[in-house]
Amino acid sequence: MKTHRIHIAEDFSPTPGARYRSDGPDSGQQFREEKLIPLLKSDGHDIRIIVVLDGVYGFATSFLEEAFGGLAREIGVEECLRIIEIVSDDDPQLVDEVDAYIRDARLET
Amino acid sequence: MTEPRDIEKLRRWQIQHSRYSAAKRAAYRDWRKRRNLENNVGIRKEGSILVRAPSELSLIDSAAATFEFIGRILSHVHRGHKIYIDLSEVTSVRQGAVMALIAALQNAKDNGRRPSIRGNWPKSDQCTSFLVQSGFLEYLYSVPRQHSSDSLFFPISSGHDSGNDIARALTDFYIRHAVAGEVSLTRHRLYGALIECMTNTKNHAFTNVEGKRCRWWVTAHFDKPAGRIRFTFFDNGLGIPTTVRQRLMEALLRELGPTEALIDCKLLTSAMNGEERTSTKKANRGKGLESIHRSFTEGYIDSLVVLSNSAHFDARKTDSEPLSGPLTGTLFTWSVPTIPADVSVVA
Repeated sequence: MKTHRIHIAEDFSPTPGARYRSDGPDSGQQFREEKLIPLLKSDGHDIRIIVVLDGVYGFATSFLEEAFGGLAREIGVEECLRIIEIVSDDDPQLVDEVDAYIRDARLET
Repeated sequence: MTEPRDIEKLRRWQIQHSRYSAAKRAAYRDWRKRRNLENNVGIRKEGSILVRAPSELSLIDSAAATFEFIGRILSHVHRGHKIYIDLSEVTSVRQGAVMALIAALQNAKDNGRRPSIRGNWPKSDQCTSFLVQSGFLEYLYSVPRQHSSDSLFFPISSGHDSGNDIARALTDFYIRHAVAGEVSLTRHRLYGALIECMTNTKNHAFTNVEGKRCRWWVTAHFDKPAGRIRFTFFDNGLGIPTTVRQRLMEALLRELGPTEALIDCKLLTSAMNGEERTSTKKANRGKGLESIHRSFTEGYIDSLVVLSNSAHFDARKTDSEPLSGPLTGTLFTWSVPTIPADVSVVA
């Protein structure tokens, strides 16, 4: 199983924005479409993606929900939970928050 | 052609046959003068209508007088009058009042008005400094911004979407003044709260509003003696109580009028507490306001106050209270301590 590591502050933006591209730059939708989905397309679903949240200025709840909840809506909750691992030493609370967004996506799928 | 002698004759005839005596006419002139003095209108200063500012310009501490002041300016702007704002008696200024005035004037400009505004300075040096450094004059009189990097003010800035750059600059402003250096979690919550405010404005505050462009204003002020930075965010959109999902009975009661303020209070409190109010009706939406409130309950920010439409939410209290005068839009204001509680600073 291939493992990828995405450091949001370095590989995407130190200043993440809001939910949709239309909301402004560096949105959750943009992160999902430009960073997460391409990995799934190129390597299939038999991968692990470690997403490091440290080093950014902060997150809006809508960014995290759209990036990870949005991914769960696309590929399924169980698949998303298996593939995505969140690392957040700066703000450990964010790990549970993202987990809740992924699990709650079940309600919409 | 009428001779001057005839005009004089006519004037004397008019006075003699007037329904009102000279005394009555003088009394009427005095009454008009007094009324104008009381209303602050009609008195002209250098060819402009004089509007006096209240001593305390604040939407929170002096809401009624501040709303009246802004309303008076707007009414003259809409009538195309030139205005002279007398700020001389102002002894206290808060960012929210300044931004509400700027927003109202900007809206008038967007609708084709060309406000002609002049004025004087407050006698208070502190207030003058506030108005100069906050960037107020840039908006009001179109004078260049006077701002230095070591200023205690983050100048009033505006945008229309999630302004990551401005949120970053404001967070850097906090980090620059934080005595204990960068405080990671506070930085996280602060940046998140700013993006939430900006995004809420873009996605909800101006939906289906004609004649208004989506725009928000934000600023910060470092109160050095208190060791706090006060952040203030304002938009003049529909307001939170209007844009959150209302239950049928709430919508009906709100339409009735007299109970509007009470319903606004209930809706605002409910939205700040993260109850299911999102207009999208989707799971995990509408969490932005709750996350700002959570930053308060977890102690990262303090003195959180939200004014929206007819409601005043103070995070230290359980329920919102009616605001003395309806606000067009929403004002968020909170403080961030520059010295965290668990850090002792040795002088």
